[in-house]
Amino acid sequence: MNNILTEKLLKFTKDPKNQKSFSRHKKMLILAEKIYGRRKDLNLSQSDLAKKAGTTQRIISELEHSFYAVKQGLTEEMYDKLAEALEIDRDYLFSDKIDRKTFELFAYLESKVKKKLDVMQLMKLPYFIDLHFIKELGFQISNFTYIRYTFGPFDKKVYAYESLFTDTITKIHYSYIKDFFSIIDSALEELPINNGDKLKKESYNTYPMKNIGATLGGKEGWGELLIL
Amino acid sequence: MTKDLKIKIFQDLNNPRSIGYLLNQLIDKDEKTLISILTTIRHISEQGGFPIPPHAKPLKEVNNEICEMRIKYDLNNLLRIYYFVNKEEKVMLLLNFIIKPDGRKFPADYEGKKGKKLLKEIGASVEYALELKSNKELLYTDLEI
Repeated sequence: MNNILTEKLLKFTKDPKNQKSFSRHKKMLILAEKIYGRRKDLNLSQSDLAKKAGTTQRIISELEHSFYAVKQGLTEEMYDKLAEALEIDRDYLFSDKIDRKTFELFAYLESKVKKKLDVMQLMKLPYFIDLHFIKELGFQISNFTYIRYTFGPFDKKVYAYESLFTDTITKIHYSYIKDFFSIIDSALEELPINNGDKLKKESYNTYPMKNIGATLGGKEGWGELLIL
Repeated sequence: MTKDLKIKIFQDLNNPRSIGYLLNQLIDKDEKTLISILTTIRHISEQGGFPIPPHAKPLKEVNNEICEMRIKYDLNNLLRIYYFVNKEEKVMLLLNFIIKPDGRKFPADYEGKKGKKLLKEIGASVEYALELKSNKELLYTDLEI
């Protein structure tokens, strides 16, 4: 009897006609996290945010429960109003490349480095932190999939985050990564966080790079998926 | 790449509080709700079982390990699924559930006698989750989604 349910559920999830619904709902979950997280940054209640965005508390509640848009779809106008009310670039809500956890990670890294992160720091610091997370907890903290490029491990999604951190992003309420500060800190302790060249060199000493035979100064290649 | 957790469920089809019972009730009957539940379970498992707000929260006041998934069930009700992660075995174990009005949407439901009754029922669900978690004999079934 029990196996029948397991088999039915597996068949249900693998059914191509349900795949679109799963994918659409996953996007709504990620959007809900972004709205919720940013609302907490600004210390707003759902009613405050609704008033600011010119909508109702019910809609904000249903967006945060991934319920509203699944049924009705978000309009472009609502994205604009929400982004404005949340005081952040529209891409934060709209881009599939951005998730809340990685957003918080970059905010935390900026607070540690005490300046805007340069390109090499943006590319390499999450990689080292993800490796540390895999070792300690068995999962990554960022939403990156790393590919070997000529300058080491990299995910081009990093560029989506680059423009988000403006002077108006002053306070972050770390809803997602606050329990992991000590793990992030211990990963950073071992790294030359302010030296992009050293970070690049160091990345060649990591096992995902070694596993594909990548050597600094050796025959350069790119495009291989790095398995963390 | 994320090393996803395995997902296992308490699947007593004769027990109306077990998560297996709920999934069995929904399959073939309410596909939209089932998709919403399975996507949330999968999403949280991909984050190592970490209780990501607003989809889940830890029940720190009760137990450091038990977490509550919070999924909109219908227009009025919230589905709460209780789970914990066995880090050594890299498994997320889903225990029991309760469906009750959403307190943020209907704060009045949680006032007075009616509210007390609701809170008592939710409290009993948490107690039941603790009981299930400590039962070493409990049988779990793999959930592949």
